[in-house]
Amino acid sequence: MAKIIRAVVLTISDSAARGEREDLSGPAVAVQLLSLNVEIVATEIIADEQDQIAARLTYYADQGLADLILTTGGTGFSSRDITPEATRAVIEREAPGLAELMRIESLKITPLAALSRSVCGIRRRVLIVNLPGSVRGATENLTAIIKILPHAIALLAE
Amino acid sequence: MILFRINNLTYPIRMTDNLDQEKITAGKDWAESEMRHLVIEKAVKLHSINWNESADAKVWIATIKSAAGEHTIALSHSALEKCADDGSERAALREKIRGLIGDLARIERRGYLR
Repeated sequence: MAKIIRAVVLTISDSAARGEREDLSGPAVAVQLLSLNVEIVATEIIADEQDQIAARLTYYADQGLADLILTTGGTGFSSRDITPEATRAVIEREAPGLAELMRIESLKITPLAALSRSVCGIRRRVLIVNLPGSVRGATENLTAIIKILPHAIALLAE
Repeated sequence: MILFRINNLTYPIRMTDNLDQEKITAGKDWAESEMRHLVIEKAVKLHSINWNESADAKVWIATIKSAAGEHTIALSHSALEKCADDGSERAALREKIRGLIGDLARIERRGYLR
C-alpha cells in the first residue's frame, strides 16, 4: 500500500490574514490534494512576512510533521510578494524542475504564468512547493505536478 | 506614498493607522481569554500562547503551542479594535478562533485534519 503523504497547506496573504478576504485557494488546494493518498495535517493563513513564512516552513519541516508543504500566494511581482524569498531562505536543495513544469503547463493557458516566481525545494526530507495565490492559478499549477508528487516524496523518504 | 514638504525639502511620511491601541490591547486580551476558554471546552492540551505583531500586514499573530503542535492565527488590528465594543465583530472573531481550536482538537485526537 502506498505511503500516506502528510501535507500542510499554508495560505500566504495579508488580506486573508486580516480577514478581509476569504481564503479560497488554501481549501481548493487541500481538496485537490485529497485525490492523492494524503492526510492534511495542518492549514494556516500567514501574512506576507518573510520571517513568519520561513518560521512556519522550518517548523513543519524540522519537526518531521509533514512530507509536503504547499504554499499558496505571495509569488507575484508586488513588493509584499515574498514567498519565494522565504522559501529559498530555508530550502537546502532546489527542485527547479517542478517550478519549471508548473510554469510550462500554465503558459499553455495564460502568458501571465510567466509572472510567477514560484520556487520548489527540499528541506530535510520535506518537499516545499510554492503555488500562486489565485484559486485558478494554484489549482492549475498543482494539476501540473500532482501525478509526480507521490514519487518525489517516496524518493525523499528513502 | 504621502510626501511632506518643509523648508523646501520633501520627506516621505508613514501613514499610521488611526486605531485605538488600548482597544487593540483589550481585543487581544479578550481573544486570548477566548482561546483559553475554548481550549478547555475542546480538551486541547495547551502549552502556551505567544503574540507577535506584523505591523506591515496590520495583524497580531498568536502562536498556540499545544499537544497538537504549534499553530498560528492572525487577527487584524481593526478586528481586535472593533471587538472591544462591537458584538458582531466579537462573534466573528470567536468563530475564527473556534475554528482553529476545533482543528487543534482534531489534530490532537487523530493526528491530521482530513
